[in-house]
Amino acid sequence: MAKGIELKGVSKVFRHPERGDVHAVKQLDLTVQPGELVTLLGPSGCGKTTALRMIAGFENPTTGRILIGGQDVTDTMPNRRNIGFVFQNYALFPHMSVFDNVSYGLSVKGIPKVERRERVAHVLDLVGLQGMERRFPNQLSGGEQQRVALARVIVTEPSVLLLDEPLSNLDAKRRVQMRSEIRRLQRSLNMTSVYVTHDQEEALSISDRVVVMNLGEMEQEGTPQEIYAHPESQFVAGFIGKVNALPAEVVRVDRDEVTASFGATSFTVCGPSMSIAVGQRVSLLIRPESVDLSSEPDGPAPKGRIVQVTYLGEKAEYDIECDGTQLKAVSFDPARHGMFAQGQEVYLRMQGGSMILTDQ
Amino acid sequence: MSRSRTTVLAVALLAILLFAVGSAGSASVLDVYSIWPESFCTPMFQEFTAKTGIKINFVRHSSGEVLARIIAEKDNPRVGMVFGGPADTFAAAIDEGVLEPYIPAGVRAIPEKYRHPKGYYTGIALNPIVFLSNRGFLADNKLKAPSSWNDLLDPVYRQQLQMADARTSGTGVNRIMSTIFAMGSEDAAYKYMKELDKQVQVYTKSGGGGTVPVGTRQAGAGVFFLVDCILTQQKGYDVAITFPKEGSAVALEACALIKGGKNHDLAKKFMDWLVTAEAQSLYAKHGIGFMPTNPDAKVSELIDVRGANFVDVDLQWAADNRQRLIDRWVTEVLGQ
Amino acid sequence: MSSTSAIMRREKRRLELANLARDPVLLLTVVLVWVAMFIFILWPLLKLMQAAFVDKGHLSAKALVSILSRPNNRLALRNSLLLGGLVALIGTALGYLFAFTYARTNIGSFWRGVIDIACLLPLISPPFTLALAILFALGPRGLITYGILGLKNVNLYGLQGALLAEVLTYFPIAYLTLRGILANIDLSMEDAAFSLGASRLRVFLTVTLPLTIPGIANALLVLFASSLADFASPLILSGARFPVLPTQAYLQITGLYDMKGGAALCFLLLVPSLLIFAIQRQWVGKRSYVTVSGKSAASSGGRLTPPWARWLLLALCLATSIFVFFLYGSILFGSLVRAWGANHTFTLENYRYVFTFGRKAIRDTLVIALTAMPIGGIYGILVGYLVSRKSFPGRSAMEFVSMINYSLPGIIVGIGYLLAFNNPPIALAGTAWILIAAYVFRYSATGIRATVATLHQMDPAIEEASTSLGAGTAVTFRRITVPLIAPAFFAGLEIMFIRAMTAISATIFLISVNWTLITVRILEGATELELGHAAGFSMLVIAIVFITTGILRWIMRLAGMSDYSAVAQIR
Repeated sequence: MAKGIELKGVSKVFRHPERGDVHAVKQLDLTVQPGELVTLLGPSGCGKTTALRMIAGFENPTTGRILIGGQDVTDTMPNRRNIGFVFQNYALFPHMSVFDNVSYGLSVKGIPKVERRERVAHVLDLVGLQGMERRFPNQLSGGEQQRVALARVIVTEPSVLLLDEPLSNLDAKRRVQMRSEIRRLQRSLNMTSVYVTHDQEEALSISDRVVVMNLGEMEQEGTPQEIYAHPESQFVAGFIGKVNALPAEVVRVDRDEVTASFGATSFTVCGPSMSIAVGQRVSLLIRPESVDLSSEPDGPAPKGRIVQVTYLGEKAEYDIECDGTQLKAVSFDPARHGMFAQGQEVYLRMQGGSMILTDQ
Repeated sequence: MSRSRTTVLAVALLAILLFAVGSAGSASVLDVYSIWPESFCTPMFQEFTAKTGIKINFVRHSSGEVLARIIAEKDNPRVGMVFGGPADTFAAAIDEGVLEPYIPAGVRAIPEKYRHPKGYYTGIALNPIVFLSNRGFLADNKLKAPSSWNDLLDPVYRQQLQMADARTSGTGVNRIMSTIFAMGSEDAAYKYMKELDKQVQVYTKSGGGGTVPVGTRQAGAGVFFLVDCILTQQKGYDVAITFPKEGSAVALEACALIKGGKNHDLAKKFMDWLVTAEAQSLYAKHGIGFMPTNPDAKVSELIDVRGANFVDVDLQWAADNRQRLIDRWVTEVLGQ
Repeated sequence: MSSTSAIMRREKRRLELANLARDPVLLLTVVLVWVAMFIFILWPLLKLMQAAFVDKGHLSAKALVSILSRPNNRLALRNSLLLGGLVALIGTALGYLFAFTYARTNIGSFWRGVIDIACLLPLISPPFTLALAILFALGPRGLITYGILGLKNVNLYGLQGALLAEVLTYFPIAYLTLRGILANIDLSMEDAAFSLGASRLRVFLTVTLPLTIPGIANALLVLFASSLADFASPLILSGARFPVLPTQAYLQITGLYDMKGGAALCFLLLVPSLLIFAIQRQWVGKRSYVTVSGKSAASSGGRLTPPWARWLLLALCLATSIFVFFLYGSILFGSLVRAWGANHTFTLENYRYVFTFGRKAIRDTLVIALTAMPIGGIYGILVGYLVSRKSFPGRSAMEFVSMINYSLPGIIVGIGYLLAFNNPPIALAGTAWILIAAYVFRYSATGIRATVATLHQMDPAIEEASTSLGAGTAVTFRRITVPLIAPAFFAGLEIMFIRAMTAISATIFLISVNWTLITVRILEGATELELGHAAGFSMLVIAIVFITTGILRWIMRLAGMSDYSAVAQIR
């Protein structure tokens, strides 16, 4: 039942009355395996929603082909693609009850009434909406509406599930709850899914694979761990979690390793993919949680001064000024480990192994 | 369930409407353009229907509109005949080639001057141009009802007269002709009308449009066809009807077949009936202020023709000059 | 123009065509709508142009030149523009006064109701009624001018008469436009200005008034266009000395049998009308600061007016309203007496006449109105849906064309229809269909606009959701779009009905022996001697319109639909 999705060289150009032609998606190649959940992640305007809408058939690609289950659907109407689409605003039919909303897809497909009733009941049970059949969308909470939207889609057993920022209208707590529910349903029903979001935490938590998009192009794809641990560009690193960029100069290039100096301190980093020369200005990327602070120098460590302290309960964030560079550091469980005070001088202990070298 | 019932109901309703829309026009119905107003033609049609069982469908237009319509519909005529209306309209229609001659049975009862020699139209009623004045207005101004065209030039009547626009009304054309007979020459008549124009409050679209304003004293007096004035009197307005002593044109009210029109057999029966004294006596019965063309028909007591000086219009001359007289009126009198 | 943008344009066209190709229902609908629009909108206009500019097979401006060579016609053009300008200015000012009083003073709901009814009556009443009533109230022997004020020799005919009748007929349109805009201005903006220390006058001049300028501009244009097209009031009240274009065109055809000249006069009228239409689309359409988001009751807007001003405004509105009520009262009176103005004995004779001799006209009008209503309603939502939700080649052209018949004076549409449908291939003259088509393609504009506005506020995702669940264009339209735009549909129905009951200018040339209209009977009564009958017919029309719109609203309420306030869309 689960079918794969393939995008081959798909581009989309919109005509904008003032800005002229806008290239929303550029030459996107993407393969989603059957049963896999792939997230398209990126800032607003990166083309992720356009890509999703092209898979659904709501937009026609300017160039390229789209295949579902190996079949070219580029010129197929959305209603013939057997997809399920969950909208950002749910797009529930306001004039229909919960039951009618959920059974709509079945009735359109001509499923007999008795079977329809059974399947709707089953799905409502699955999403925890038993007993709400007669309510109307405006009588439901945001989370409930979200469940109806989901139920409405999965009841039709689509070969592909497409979700467009489905959780963005929920409050933080609901969001966490719903995303694990979506993941559970997706896995148990084995639905090939493409999930669009701009929330990196959501992307990391829900996906089999993450595709980071920027300016209409794919920046990087990989498992959540790969994306987080090995961002290939400063954009990816910055978009997935927080990152410090240390300006540095290459002092030595070995076969697998590069040594670069940040101020007076040198770090040895795993060899980059790009070619590199001694004397080149580069950036050393390091995540705040990899920056350890201590009041004593313990080996070669740059010295900085704490500019601001933000206490967040389970962790504390520090803004540090170091050699004219603004850095961030995080320490967990500050209640146990104690906290630094604003204005305090600290040493920044960083390992070359936690760093990634990129172009400046 | 209820939704499907609503659908059925809606479809049924629509079907009824569509049936109603499509159901117009059947064989035993005569379609007529009437120039006579509703209140005159309806009783005549009803009497005819009662007598013969032939139904008459009609729409009422002013004479100008009827002429414009039958010319426009030349290739595809929609009615069988024209009923009522001044003969000069029919003369114009002959020139356009839209009428079909028919000499009704028993037409000899009608004097020859009241019918077309070739039967293109047949006169069924007479209608002179008269003065209508409001008695209250006359009393306030210590005036007698006008009896001469020149009486209307009295300063008392300044902005107090209403009469028809010659462009839309046969009444207006007949008024122009009346003044030509009265003044002896066309130039003198137009000079007079230019003077008269200063007295006029408004030229109305239809011939009788000014009669009610005279009745309600919005206007002091006006020049109209007799038939409209009789009607105003009957409605209870306190008005006086008088005749210009210099003479007034008598319009011939006629009827005719339309060339290529529908149901001519019915129309002919109708015309045969219309020339009878029996039919024309009905004018009096129904308060229609026309004088019959059939000398044997009964004349209404409402019509008092003392002081009248009727001039029969030379219809050929009228037909030939109609448009020219209107154009001249528009340019010289209205100054447009 | 860069070549890439040309390529892109071609590309967009290709996509739109591909879109049509893969959606046969859409393709079929678009083709059908275009065919209908060509036959009933463009073809009659072409015939009109042909009549005006083609002479014996050659292009010729002879008819136009001969029309323009007559000083009377040049005067008519000037008069039409003058009258239109004055009606626009005075009507908009009066409408603003009413709207401001309604939305920005704390008058009670009773007074609001009074104002509303005074504004509703002219909108739903048949033509000629106000003109006749004005004649009886303010004419040379009018009840007010002569009976109360004792004035002699008042001259109502001419500019003054037509102006008064048209202002009273059309100011409610300005009122409804401006009231909607005033009510939708967020009051916190005025409050913010107050809190910054501005006086009432300053708040009004610097905040309230500028925010309503788009509405004022729109009202000016709409009123100008309405006056330009008006045929009924000048026919009764302007007289031969103050000719205006629509009546001139009418007289040219009915009086002088000159179809060519009439068409040429229509062309004179067409030019300013199209100009206004273009300005309205290009300029006003893009300059609205206020987004209309449902109804907001501006009940707390009283801060802007000091108490004395409140009473002054209310007094002005009430004076106007009372005059309007008086006029309608006098029509009612006229319908119940033997001879209006002379013999005031009570009688039901006029109504007996209306229901016996007028029965055919009543039946015909009702059949035509009730047939035009669903057809026009469906056509309206169909076009509104296509132009705002679907992409296909010629979409914006379709939107433009759909508004043409509505924007042009009725007399032009009527003459165009007469020329186009008199003879085969489409000989509709003499049937009910020519009247129904005239109404459908002229007055569905409200339905189209209401549909576009509703869809504009509706998330397109709702329809996409239906499509993604397997429903095609037709099923989505029927099961999702139609129920959601039902209020707009009902608004379209309501206006279609009101217009079919009250229109005259477009249909005066289209009636036939088989199909006549109440309004034509009113015209006849008004221009002939039968004022009592005209008054009786007028009252009947007002009653039918009230009852029918009442039933429509009742159905909507039963169905739980929100009230779209259709009358606000009347022009």
